[in-house]
Amino acid sequence: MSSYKLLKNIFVDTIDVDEYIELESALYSYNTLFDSISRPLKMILLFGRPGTGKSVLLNQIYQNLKYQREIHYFDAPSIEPREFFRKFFKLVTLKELPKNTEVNFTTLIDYCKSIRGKREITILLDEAQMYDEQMLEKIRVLSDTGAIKFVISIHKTQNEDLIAKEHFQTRIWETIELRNISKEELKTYIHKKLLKRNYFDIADTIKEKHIHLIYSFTKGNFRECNKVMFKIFEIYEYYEAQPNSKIDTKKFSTKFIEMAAIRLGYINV
Amino acid sequence: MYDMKELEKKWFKYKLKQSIPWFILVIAVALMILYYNNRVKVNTLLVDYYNQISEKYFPKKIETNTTIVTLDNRTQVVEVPLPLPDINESEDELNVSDEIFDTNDTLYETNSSNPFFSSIKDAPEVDKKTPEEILEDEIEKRHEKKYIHIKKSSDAYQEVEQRFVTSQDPEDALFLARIYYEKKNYKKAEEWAFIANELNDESEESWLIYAKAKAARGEYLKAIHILDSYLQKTNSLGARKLLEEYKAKLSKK
Repeated sequence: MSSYKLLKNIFVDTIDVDEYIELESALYSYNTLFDSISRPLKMILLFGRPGTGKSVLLNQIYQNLKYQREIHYFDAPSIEPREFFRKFFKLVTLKELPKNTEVNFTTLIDYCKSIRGKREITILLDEAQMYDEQMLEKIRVLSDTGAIKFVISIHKTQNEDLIAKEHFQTRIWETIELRNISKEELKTYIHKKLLKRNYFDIADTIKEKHIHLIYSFTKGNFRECNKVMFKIFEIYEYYEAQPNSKIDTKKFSTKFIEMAAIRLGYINV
Repeated sequence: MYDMKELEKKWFKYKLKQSIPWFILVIAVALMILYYNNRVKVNTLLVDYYNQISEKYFPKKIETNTTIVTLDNRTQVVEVPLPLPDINESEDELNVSDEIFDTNDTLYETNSSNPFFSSIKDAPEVDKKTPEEILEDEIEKRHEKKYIHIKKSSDAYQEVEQRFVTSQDPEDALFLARIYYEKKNYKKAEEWAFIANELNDESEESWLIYAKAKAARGEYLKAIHILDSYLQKTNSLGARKLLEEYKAKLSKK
């Protein structure tokens, strides 16, 4: 297999814990979230623009705490309330909901109240901006029982204040914002990704000017950075496959960075 | 895989676009340098050409020979310009000959067009002039050569006096007063100084010539009176000096 094919796959956008790169800013966010979960809070809001590492962080927390406490990760939002409550019923009561039956919300609230002080359940809700207002209201009522703790992850959009202001104004006790990383961190991120798979030579060819160029397109966004790096190695892969290929393995190609940027629409020609 | 050829084309287009401002900058700088260099060159050429023309037609220093002529008992120095260089006329033709000097009582005037004086000698004409000579003549006309015209002074005085009848020019009157005083014709000097003063009583020279003429005729008291009157109007150092001189002479008498 082409080495460039392997290289491009390093930058496939994933929330796999094995792909997690420990950066200074990510470590800070992790520690803050970890502390918040340990405290008796009802709601924790995790927000940031798409591609700032919210899902990776939630997954990382889930993987690290899943054997220590009752923690559950809802990676994809359940559009149908029935489906959400079926899932919720199972993890709270530890029983399957019988077929052709629906969860009685009032009974569920009563049950949650009955386990308060006995059990402490943490639910990590990713992509929470996908839930409708009615669902969010029910989540709020569930958190009020004191038995369920929610970590709500939302995209930082124009409606970012919706949850905080309208539904959970008095209940969200902790907010954690994730931001794009700096140029230095981007360099560390790319290098660590490559070194993790033992691509020392390639990592060594990526210099400051290349990082600067990549950063100018991606603004330090993980997802955008992954996309650019993936495209760059895809272009490498193409030229490597051409007869009489003249790829200079000692130098990282600025041309390919620019071509990737054109392909991804960062540069309008 | 998407169309890499198309992507390459787009990349070339992008690089071209990216380099356009640099091309423009480089061209602009090059044009500025060219313009500056040419300007310096043109300026140098113009200056050289101007210097050549200037040296040819307007020598910086016109050398003169000096002739000493006697006017009455006094000695005056008259400067005669030497012929201009590089003009295709013979030296003899351009030189002002000694004949034009009248060693008798003479005045000199530089303006040949002045009807008051008659020209002594016309410059000889040159037959069959080349275009260059015509051009030179044209330049020469604009910067007229100075010829010395000499006239007998008695005629000159008469003409100034005649002209004064119509012009009533205080300068003419003062000129006559000055000349008569220099010629020690104090009575005439006194008369013309008086007339000049009547026309312009702010002319210090008219007051002074009038007083000096009076004093020269031995009328120190009147001269003192005249200078006193003038000093009441002004604070002239010349008048004060004369006044003191005359007072001293009067006291000796």
